[in-house]
Amino acid sequence: MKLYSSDLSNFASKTRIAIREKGLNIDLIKPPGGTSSTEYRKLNPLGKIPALELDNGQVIAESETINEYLEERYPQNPLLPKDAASRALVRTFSRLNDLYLDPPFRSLLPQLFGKKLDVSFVQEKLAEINNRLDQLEGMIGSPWAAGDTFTLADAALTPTLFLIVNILPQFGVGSPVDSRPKLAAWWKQAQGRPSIRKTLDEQRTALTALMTK
Amino acid sequence: MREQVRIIGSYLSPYVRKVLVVLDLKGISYEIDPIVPFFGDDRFSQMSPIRRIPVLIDDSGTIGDSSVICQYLEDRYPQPMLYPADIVDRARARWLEEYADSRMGEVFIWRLFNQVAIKRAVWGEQTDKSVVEKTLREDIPQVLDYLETQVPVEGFVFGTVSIADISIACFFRNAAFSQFQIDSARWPRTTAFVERILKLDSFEKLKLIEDRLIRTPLAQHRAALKEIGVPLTKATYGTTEPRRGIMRID
Repeated sequence: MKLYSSDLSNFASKTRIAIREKGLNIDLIKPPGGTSSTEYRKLNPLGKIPALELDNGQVIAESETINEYLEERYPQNPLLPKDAASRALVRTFSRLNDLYLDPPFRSLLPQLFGKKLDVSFVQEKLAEINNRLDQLEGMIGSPWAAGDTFTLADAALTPTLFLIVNILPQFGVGSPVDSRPKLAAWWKQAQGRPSIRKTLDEQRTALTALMTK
Repeated sequence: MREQVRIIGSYLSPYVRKVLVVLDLKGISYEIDPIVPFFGDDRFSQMSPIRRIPVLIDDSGTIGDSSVICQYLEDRYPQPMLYPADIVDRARARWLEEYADSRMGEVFIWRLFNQVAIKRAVWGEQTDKSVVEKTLREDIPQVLDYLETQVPVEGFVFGTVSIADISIACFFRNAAFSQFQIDSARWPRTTAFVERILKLDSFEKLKLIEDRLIRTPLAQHRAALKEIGVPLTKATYGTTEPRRGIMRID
């Protein structure tokens, strides 16, 4: 089995955390020719990262779908609770991350690569990110996002938060965790977890390389 | 005895429809507060911070997001199974559900239905014809080309009815509200598939209600539903003044 991944991508990192939590031996490889190559598009028509290729050649796309698949196929070290309501809570965090926290943040990235974004656009997106983080502050549990145990919610949130914490100051705003005590406590705890530490280290190396290019 | 399931959200939303079909197939009764999200009050904002529908409330709490709700219903009420038993198929089913919710949602709801219905009925604004034309000319054909490679000639995508069939079919009801019809010569499989799925009893029952609502002004939806005997919640999260949430409006 192999995972098409990139060290920096928060969505690929989310899946790498799940793989490490379960102790799986899955090859991590870069998409052949980059994500927009014809070769990669044949594997994953949307050209997105990550994608999991099974031994029979079948490809599963979307980090959330991949993580649910890994959870079902390798139930050891479970990353979803047993009861239905707790599972729904974990998935709510993942959706908040994938659909509502990541997109406004992602829309700001072109500015880091030299494209001047409209000031009012940047303000609007920063406000949206702040709203989402406030929402997260209201929901986040202790010691883990969904409560007592480490789950897919923590795997989903940490790589996105890593990027936000490290990139948002470039837009002249302070650290998003300093003013949010619950989020800060969780963030500190999460970074000590080996699977997360290793994955965030990879993200950090890739981000530093990108920023010093 | 468990608390009655309550659903917040209008019958005209494809995401609400997905949840209502799943509830019906699993034989779970519910009460409904049929609001359009733009008309939700402050308590609605608190419950659904991004002001989206549907929201499900039951004895274990409040859950938002149709995909999270459907998976919750599957976990809590496993029969009949609406996610395939085989785990690779299940991953494919979730992918198709996500494709429908994101991509079909963007095209059929935010570009088409928003332009021809929501803008006029909620905001009193004009349809932007150029958006509609581009959607019909480029985006919808691209979606249908993809679906044509995914749906079967007969029956369901995974043998028995699943979340994949339901999620895809839901958007074609809003396409129909927007007067869109699939070209059956160009996309024969998809045309037949959608017809077949929408003939399921769970969709047919909703169709009667939807057809009534689509001809009724928003302010009279509750009254119209009461008249046809829909089990409404006693209280509503609705108001009479629409407000823009952080919802995406293209």
